[in-house]
Amino acid sequence: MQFGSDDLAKYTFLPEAGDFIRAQGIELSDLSRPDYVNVVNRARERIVEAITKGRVSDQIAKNKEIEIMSFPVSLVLVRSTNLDHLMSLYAGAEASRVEYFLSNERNPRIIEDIFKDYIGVELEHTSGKGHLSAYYSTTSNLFLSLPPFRIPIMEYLKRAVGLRKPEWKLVNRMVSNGKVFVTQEDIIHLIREEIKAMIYQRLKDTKLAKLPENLERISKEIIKMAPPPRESFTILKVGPENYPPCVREALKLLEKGENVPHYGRFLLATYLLRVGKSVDDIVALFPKAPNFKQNVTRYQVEHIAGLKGGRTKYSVPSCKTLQTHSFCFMDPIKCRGISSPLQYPADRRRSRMQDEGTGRGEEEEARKGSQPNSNRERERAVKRNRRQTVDWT
Amino acid sequence: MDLASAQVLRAYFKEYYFRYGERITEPTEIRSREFGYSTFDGQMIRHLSFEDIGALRALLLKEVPAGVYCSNSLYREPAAEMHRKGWIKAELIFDIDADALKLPCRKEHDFWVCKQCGKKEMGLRPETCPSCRGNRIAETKWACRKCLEGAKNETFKLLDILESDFGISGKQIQIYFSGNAGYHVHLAESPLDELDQHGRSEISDYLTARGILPEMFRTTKMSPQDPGWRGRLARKIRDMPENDDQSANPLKANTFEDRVKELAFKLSKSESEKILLGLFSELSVKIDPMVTTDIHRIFRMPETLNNKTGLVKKSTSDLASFDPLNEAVAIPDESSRIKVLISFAPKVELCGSSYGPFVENGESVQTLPPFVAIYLIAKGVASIAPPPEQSITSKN
Repeated sequence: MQFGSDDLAKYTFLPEAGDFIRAQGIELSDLSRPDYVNVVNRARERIVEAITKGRVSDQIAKNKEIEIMSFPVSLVLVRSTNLDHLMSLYAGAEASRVEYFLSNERNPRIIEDIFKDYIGVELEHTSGKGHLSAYYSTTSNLFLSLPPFRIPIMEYLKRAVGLRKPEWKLVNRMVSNGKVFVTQEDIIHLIREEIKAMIYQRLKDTKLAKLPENLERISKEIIKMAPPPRESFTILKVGPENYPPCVREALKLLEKGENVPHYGRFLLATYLLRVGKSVDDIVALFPKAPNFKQNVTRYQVEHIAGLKGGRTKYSVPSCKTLQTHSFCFMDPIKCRGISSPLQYPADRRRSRMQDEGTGRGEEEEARKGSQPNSNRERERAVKRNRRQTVDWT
Repeated sequence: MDLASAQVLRAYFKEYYFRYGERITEPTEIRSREFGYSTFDGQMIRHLSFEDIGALRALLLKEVPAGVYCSNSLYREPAAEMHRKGWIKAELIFDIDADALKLPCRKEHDFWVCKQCGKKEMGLRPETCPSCRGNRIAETKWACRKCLEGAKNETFKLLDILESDFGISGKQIQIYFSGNAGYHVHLAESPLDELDQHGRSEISDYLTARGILPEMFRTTKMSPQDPGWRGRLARKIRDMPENDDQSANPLKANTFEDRVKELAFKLSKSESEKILLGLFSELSVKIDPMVTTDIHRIFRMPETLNNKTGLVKKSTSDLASFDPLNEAVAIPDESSRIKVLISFAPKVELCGSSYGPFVENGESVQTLPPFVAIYLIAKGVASIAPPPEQSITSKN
């Protein structure tokens, strides 16, 4: 179907929006002209909103063309910073904006077309097809009416396995003949990450070329404004009394000289490395294990630490992965709402803040610690920015 | 296992592969699959790949493995180390084992041996040995006809969900007797082949009803015609026997409508949810979740022998009439006899005859058809008797 300018202003990530701009025959260098000052300002605003609010505003400028054109300009600007975490942040903020418009979309054909053409999911209407009584519960609002769409199980699972709430589990869905029943809100929630990935990919694919001076200035401004990247391998300060139940179970089995299943060993090694234990400390826990061979255990722990083999530093498995491998020993209170053993106990951050009386949580400390690095990264990015130039898409 | 018994077992396996090796058909996309085999001395050789089934059959005759395995996964480099294989996709496999059903007949045929004092007794493994109070107790599981029927019924429950909920057609479903105490169900070319292990875990949870929210089913808007778990639950509630003092029916009402109202409104939330979870437990399929979720496993190949029993992992196209204790016997030849020394063994039923139980005090010497002797040796309860040298039939 043909998208109108109203639609393209909402769904600026659609390729049709690019066609719209190409039809105007605008070059990157044209953006320094006063005619485009509103476009450039809105592009800057989009990025500032992403950085400060985590979401690009859903108010569409009166001039739809400005809204449509400002999106690729903002992509060029974000790309020019070369800051990968900013690209990710920006993609997420634009995706939130799209999610808002999709949730409020009244035209079902737009929804269907976007899903079919850009997400690759064919939405099948359920109304009028066979007997289906309304799917709702007396005690919860999970399904207040018959879900209007069905999607193949594979398409559902590809997207729903990362979602933590039990309502998303396949077993809590109406499933029939290879299809899962979903509402419009469900689908939009399910494809949120994909829209983010699509926008992120657009950013990655944006070619670098020389920026006009006004854009160059904004690019430098954004680099200064960008938050520091998250440190992924900070050493956590956790005492044995605060080890999660799964880690404690693995330690208990080792202490008793019983076999710890593969995933329990893997968890133990990755977790203890993250809380600052050395390879020697970890190997020393294993001698009572059945079939213990010091050199084999040492090699395995060093492999996990990224010192041997493929040199990959392995992450602590998520709670979901541990559940999959039957090595989750959930504490109903202290595990509530966490998705990784590293987040245990659930109230750790709050209690630490109280204990220390500093009002500063661990993540903030980690950020503080990583500040010089991020400054260095920014300086490097600025240098790169000077060397490389940005290409108009 | 002593050397002589292992050699007899190996000779039997060799004869089977020599006579019936042609029954082992080539898996689809054989070049993308990982193969492995175990030897009679307990070694496991993995990360093999074959160009065609001929090469594999040749290996069977040359090496005479104890177990032959093939991946359900397809890889770009099937013979590479695990992290370099390049996973493409994997058929979904479900494993149903009679032992997981915890059937009451276990007490009649499972047995235990105290490693400390040597005491042997039929029944479930005690915490400590009643004789010496030791806790080093080995347990031997046995599968009787009732166990295998139970596993078959569980397989029917699985097939129902696969077909009605997952939309898998009968043509895509292959059913195999595992060669021991259960069934393997393979889905060929299903749209779910590309699921990763988290996705497979969701499939497994769906079948086992793990994580189901019972509060979603406290509703009167439920009909036996509904799809999925709702319809299944509604049919179960409808078909429950009338409540009298003897019945185990936890609901007082006797019509479907009243029972649903009882669950939704009359009973407290906790009482109602307890009943619902009990019903889901009955309706759920007792698959082994680890087998379904693991995408790096290798599985016993169809038409090869199970070294735990000497029986064949046998394909069946008609599960209802399939009799594993007859059709999965590898070489049903009763013309010869083997003399074995049996330490302790429950009754064995194979090829329409039953043997044993052999539970007298001390060991007993029995002369049995080869497939029965092999079954007992493979189960680890018998050895070649006497003297072992005279019974070696294999030239290898």
